[in-house]
Amino acid sequence: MPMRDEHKQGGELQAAFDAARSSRPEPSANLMARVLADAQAVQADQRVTPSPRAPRGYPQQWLDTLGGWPAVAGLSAAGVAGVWLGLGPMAGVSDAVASYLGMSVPPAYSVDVMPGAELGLAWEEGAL
Amino acid sequence: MPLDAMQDVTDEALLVLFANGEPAAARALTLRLTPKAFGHAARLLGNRAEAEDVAQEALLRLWRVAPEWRQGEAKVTTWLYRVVANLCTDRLRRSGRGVALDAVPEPEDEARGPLDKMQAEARADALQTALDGLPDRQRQAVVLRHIEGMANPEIAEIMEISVDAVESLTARGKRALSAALEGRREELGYADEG
Repeated sequence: MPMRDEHKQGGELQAAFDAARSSRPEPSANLMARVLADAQAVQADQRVTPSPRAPRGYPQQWLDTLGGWPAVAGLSAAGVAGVWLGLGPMAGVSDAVASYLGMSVPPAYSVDVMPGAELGLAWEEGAL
Repeated sequence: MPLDAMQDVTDEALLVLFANGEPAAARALTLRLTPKAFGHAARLLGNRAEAEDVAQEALLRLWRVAPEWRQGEAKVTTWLYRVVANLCTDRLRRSGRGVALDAVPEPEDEARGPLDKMQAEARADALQTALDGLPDRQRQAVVLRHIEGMANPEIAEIMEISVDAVESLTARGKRALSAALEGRREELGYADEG
């Protein structure tokens, strides 16, 4: 069979496409009902389980209030440091605490930050 | 009662409403998308019962993915056509392409005479038979371009290929369809039209 004009062939194919467009397969009422039932079931599932997390008990809520495990770890570290300072204090720290409590402690060293202050005070009071 | 009670709302916005539990969104999306999913599946499979199963499965996947849908990333219809096509391809591969043509078309134009309607049905059936003979990707590209009426960039997005590849697929598909319909010119009434 000789090959016919491409333009004519294109026109026939276009007519076939037009016919196909005008006779689009339509879904049955049964399919529409099945799809809608699926949609409603999925929505119902999502409403029933808004969150996958289990109910949280009091200890977990307390932990959450503190800021979770990272915060508790920080608190623990601070506590351990406090115990260590109490049991084995450095000499400087020991002196400072004793001084704070009013106990006499021989100064390990002293620095006069205002060397002329005593002289100035004596002058003002007329001792000199 | 209108077919779609929320006509001005986009598919993407409806999907957000759906994920928020809005019953009207479920109904509107079902009415809007089921014909598209089913129609495309019927064209690709040539089998009405299988097309119904594919459409239901594709939409079920959409309902489930709704809470994680990311706005502005893809159109819902693009995603849906892609899922439908993938499901059809899986079925065709599993069944070895022994497809029956029972996608009975229902003419919409009631004003046409019975002879015209019969001729249009015959042409649509013949086209479907010819489409069934195309390779999967050619068939999908031709259906999306010439029956669904989509633009090449959108088809490229659905099929995840370049626009050039879409043009190549549709051109080869049309040539194959013309050749397949060539032998049925008289039967389909093309001979009378010159």
